[in-house]
Amino acid sequence: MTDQHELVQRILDGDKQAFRILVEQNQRLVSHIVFRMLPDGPDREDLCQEVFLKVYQNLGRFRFDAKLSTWIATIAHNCCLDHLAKKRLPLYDDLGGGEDMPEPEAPESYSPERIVAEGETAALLRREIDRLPPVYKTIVTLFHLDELSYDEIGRIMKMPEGTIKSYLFRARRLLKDRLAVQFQGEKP
Amino acid sequence: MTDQHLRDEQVQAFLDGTAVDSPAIEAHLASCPRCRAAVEGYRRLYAGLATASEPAALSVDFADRVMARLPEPGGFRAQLRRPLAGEGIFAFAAFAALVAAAIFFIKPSLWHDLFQGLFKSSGSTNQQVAKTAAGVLESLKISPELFTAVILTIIAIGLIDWIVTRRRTHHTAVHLA
Repeated sequence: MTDQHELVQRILDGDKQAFRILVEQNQRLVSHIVFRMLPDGPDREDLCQEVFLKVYQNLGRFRFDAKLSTWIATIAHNCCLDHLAKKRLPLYDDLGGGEDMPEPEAPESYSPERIVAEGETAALLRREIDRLPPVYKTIVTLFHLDELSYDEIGRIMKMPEGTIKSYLFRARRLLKDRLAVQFQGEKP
Repeated sequence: MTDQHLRDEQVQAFLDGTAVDSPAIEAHLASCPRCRAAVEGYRRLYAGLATASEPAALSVDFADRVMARLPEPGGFRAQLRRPLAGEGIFAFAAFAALVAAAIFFIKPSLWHDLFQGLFKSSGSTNQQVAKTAAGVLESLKISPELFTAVILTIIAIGLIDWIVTRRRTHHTAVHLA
């Protein structure tokens, strides 16, 4: 029996401390999804709590056909979609380009990405990530911060792997282009 | 490949480790400073994303808050057994009891007829049970009509509870699918 099986079984047997372990193991992942999908506001942390209450109530339905963390992340994503639908908030606004976005020139050595490593533009990058539409910044975060695969992100967000890859590429290219604009604008 | 610069998506796929033509890309990079710079630029962007993509953190007592909101001791099975707890079970019970009581006071004969009918319908066993039950109720000074009303109220609450449980379970299963 794996650690996951054992943990789930303990929770199903009524061990609340086991559930606390589950929360502590997965709260960062859940917060990444909720905080990226929803706009800034006090209801984001409340929604994270709701996610874990749903996990608690539905754990008996988990069949181990995916990683426990992936299942929890899927619930988090569903909760976000419900919340956004209730508030009538968009998922794909302000991308600044669609499928027919022209292929940019290959990056040059001036690259604004270079200054990312220099520290002072980390806040700039953070701001540009925040400006991305919810779906895009969620994918960027799950891939680069949580180190999930295209397949895992696709399972969580119920999208084909190719779509995840396409969105990720577009988001990174958009970040690069926006940083380039910022960088050139700040040059004397 | 060697004559053309890498496209943006090739650079990203190469760094993601998903490029199908990695050996050809590597060969091209060995002879193309411009594309090497492109790869290096994205590599630095990736490094920035690994830290800058961290959103705000949860409260330090987040887990405590979740634990405080857990509904019942005994895990999820207890939850399933008490699907209406906190969601109007008492309102259902009060409403059902009110209806039963109203009928009891307005038309007692209805309950009396119903009670009699339940046990006189067939068989000697039922008649024996009816006699025993009537004796017990008489000793407790509870009228058969009131007893019948209480039983029917409990059955009504149980039925409503069962229906709501099934509907909620189905909704949750569909939602999580």
